[in-house]
Amino acid sequence: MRLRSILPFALAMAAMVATSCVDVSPDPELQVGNHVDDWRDEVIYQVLIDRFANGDLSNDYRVNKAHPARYHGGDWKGLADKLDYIQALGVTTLWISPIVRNVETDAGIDSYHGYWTQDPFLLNQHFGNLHDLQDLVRRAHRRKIKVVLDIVTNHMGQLFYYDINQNGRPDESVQGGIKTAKNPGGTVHITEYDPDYEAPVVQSFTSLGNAGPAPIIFIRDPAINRIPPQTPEAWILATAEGYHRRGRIVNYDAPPDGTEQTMFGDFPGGLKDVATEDPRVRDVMLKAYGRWIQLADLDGFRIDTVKHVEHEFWEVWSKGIRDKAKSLGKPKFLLFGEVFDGKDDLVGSYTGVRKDAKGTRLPDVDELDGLFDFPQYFQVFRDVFIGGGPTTKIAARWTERASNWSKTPPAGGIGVAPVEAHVNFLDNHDVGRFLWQASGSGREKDKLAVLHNALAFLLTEDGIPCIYYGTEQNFSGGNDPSNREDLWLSGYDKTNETFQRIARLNRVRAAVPALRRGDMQFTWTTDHVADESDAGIVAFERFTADGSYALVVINTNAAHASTTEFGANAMKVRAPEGLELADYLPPSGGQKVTVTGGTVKITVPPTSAVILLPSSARI
Amino acid sequence: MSPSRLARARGVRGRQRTLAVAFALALISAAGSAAAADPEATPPGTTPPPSAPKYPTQATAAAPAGEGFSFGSYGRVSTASDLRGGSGREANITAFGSRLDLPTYAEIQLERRDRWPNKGGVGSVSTNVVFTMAFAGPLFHETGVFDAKTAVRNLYADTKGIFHKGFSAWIGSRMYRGDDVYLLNFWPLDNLNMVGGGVKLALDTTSEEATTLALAVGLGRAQDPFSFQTIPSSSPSGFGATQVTFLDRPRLVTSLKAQHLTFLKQGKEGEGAKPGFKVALYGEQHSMGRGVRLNESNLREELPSERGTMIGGQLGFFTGERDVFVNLFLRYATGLAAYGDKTVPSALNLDKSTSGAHETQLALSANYEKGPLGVLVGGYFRAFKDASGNAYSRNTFNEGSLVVRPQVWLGDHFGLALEGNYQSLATAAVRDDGSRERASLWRFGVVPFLSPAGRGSFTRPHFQLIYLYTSRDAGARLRYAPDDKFARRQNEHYLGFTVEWWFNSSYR
Repeated sequence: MRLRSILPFALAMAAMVATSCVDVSPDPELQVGNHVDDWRDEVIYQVLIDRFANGDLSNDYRVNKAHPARYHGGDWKGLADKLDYIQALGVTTLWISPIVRNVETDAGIDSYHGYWTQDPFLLNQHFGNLHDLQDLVRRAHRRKIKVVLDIVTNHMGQLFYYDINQNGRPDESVQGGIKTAKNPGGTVHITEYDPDYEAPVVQSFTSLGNAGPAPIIFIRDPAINRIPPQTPEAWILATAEGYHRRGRIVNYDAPPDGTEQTMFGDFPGGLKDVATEDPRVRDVMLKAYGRWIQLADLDGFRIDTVKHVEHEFWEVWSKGIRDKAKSLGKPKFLLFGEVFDGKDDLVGSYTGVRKDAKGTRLPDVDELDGLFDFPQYFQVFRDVFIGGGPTTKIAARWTERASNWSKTPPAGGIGVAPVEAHVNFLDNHDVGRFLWQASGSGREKDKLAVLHNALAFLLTEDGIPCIYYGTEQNFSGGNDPSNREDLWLSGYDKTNETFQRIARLNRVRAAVPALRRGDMQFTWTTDHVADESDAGIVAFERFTADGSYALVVINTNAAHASTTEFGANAMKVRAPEGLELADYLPPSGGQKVTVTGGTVKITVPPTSAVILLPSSARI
Repeated sequence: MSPSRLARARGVRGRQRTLAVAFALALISAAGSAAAADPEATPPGTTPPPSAPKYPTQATAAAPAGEGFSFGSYGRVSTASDLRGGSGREANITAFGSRLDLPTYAEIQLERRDRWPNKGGVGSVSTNVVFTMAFAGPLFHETGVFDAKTAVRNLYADTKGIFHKGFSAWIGSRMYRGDDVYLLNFWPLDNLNMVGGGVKLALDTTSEEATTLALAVGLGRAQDPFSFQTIPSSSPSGFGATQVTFLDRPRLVTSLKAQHLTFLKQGKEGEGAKPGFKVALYGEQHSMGRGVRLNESNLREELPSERGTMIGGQLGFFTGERDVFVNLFLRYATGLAAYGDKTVPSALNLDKSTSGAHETQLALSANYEKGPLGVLVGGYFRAFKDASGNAYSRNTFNEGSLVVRPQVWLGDHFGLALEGNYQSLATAAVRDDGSRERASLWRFGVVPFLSPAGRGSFTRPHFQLIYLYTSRDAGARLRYAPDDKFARRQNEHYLGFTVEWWFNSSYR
């Protein structure tokens, strides 16, 4: 062998070298900008990332699928790889569970849900790295699907304990001690991780009596990421000053005004309430979450535990976020929040409605763009669709909202008044699933029909509909964590009746502007819930100025078919005389009616719905 | 000239010639470290000169020969300060970097050689039993803890001369290695740790231009849930539980190596240096059977069978003078083979398989010496893509390191080496602040040394006084845990002593 014979070998090696690199700079091609036209066009789909799809086994740390409250392995790549499924369902916006780094575990429960923030500037590696998140958003945007991020500004995870007995360790119980006014029994059982509410701060006491404010001891347990925030920008959250230090809420309606504990108490579970009135804390929340908009090209925030944070925070923070989003070319960045409460005046107050001490309405201010319609959840879906209550409660809900929610779009907001940007839902990760609720309310036999009926209302009423993942697979879990099932167990079936129902409703909604942006006017509601001819009927029109029109008629009555007529009263509509309307809910077409004498009479089978459109409509 | 004759010549020739001959011998015998000691190479009781070169490979391992027992060793002992009141510590960020701050490690090697009449054949049959014990600290005198990490690195026997003068066979547990990149402490091509056996055939034992073929098969089973799982099971007695093996799927590795040595200049012994080339082709096949294990839900979980292939090559040039050579290595591996023979595969695909993973690796090793000057070069580049199928995986990366060590001998027993090292690493992931996961560092060392055995890059022992400066970029600092000093310090100092030796050792 000589040099010439070695040359080909050398060349072959060189050729292999030239092609050997792996691409370590894949660019998700993130083009930060606006992807939204009108949020009322959107259908939100809530995804608990850990439970949706596992696309990358390499981040399966502490996964234990046998335990409902542990990590199960879902990640951002898993969701990105299932966008076909999302698109087939017809939803248009993903609401993804929180992305930030969490305390891993506490009391046998893991932070798979994402609400136990440890550092708001860092990502939860269980779900992937930033590239994975960016890729999810990029691929979603390519399909015209928006992405809304779930965030928490009210509290952090369980980062510290109150050293009430000042022995330098977290005790689950403190026993003994002399009898004092605070400790009349001489023995008190408390947990220093999560003691009961006490103003102005949790106090310590020893065997010699009260001993002043309980020291705050931050826990250092890196193995479960139970450590103070490490990002320098979040330093205030690594100090006692960043927190209210009052212990857990034990009474949501505590005097004097029923809000003190809600505002200043730790969220049950030892989730430490941050001092959101402190400008330094506000700055952290602004910078941390403003940065994620830029890094991940997000389209909005779903904000957790809104009622636990003072209004002034929302005024300041919302403006800051909107300014940040606008600077990134996102003039319609959505801010909607969770006020888990049935009291509509409380919910509506976070849309910027202000009243004086006498209840007199003051000029609105700018707060959030919209809120989950929890009052509707209770009054409409629970009481009427599941409970069989009178449909007049539905119309009453609209009247109530109109008086309590702001009618003025926030400056720099999405351009839609909050009263039109209510986010409607049947269930979510904090409540038992709709089918579970229906089963427990005596609708076991026809619960699927009840669900389909409720979906018809959800996807045709005004506002922004929101569907909890797994609804399309007839998941029926009870309260947390039973309502957080693994979606992969369904096989991502697209053929079942509920999936098809939602897909059909979304198709109709997408095709009819009136069902998205149109005004809404009830044409029939009733107090009748028995054998009356119109028992259970709710009907409403959706219409736009440029002629788009829909008439939705739903029979919530399970016992018999009902008609939009009672006695001599017929249902009056605004549709022109002689217009033929056809039911477009069945893909193959349904019954037809004609506007006669300004009225429409139609009979709807029990627990079912029709969506009447001009018969010339093409869907 | 046969390898044995060449080797035999080492004992009677001059120093330079000895080096060249040993060099050639090692080339011929370097089918990994499968080259067992040749019992004919050196008269019994002869210890190879301490200046015996370690390059290309196994020269020293091949050199000691004859019958009876012999002792060999590789070792290094280090102690250092960080000049900030702390201990000096290894600071490489790539898998292979400067070896100047490697921690203490030693091997002792015991061998028994015998020679037997070859009944019905030509010449004799030899056998060799090798036992190598390795020690990896901590030193009792450093910690006061009477304990140490130890491992059996070789425990095998081989025989040579049956059937054919160039035929050899071995069975046992052994390091199975080819040439290394000394500056990186790295074996880039064949580097297996296997329990098994193999055969080798030198096709023409009478020619300098020799071709050898080596085949080895081995099994290994890591103690991890990918390969092995024990579970408690009800005792047959009806009382209590007994531990049973539930998953047991060892990795079967088969390797094949073909190597050819050619000289550019023919001639007899003593007629000057003879430069030449070495060409090697190497391949491995890795496989594991299907398996079943219990997952965290105590449900049976199927694990698919695994496959992996590695192919590679080596192209070397040597001048035949002193230890002057250059070696270029290239390997490409897929599937299971991309993870190395003792690495527990991670970042699997959704089928829990390594399918889809691949690795490409290029390495360079060179040494040049002339008069009192010398320069050693080592470098590698590695591109690894994991099996996850995630284009943005943190486990998909490119990394590389280049080390250059010029040195000058001031007389025969003292010298000064300078070392420069650059390391770089880039993954496909991004950090939480949006910056790409990239890291690099520079290292610069000054190493005055004593070399009792004389000049030469590979003469040992070496008594080294080492000062090593390291400069990390921000990305390199982020490779460390937040509370690690290395995460906060850009500059690092390392001042310490190291002694390194080897003789009769299969370590290199």
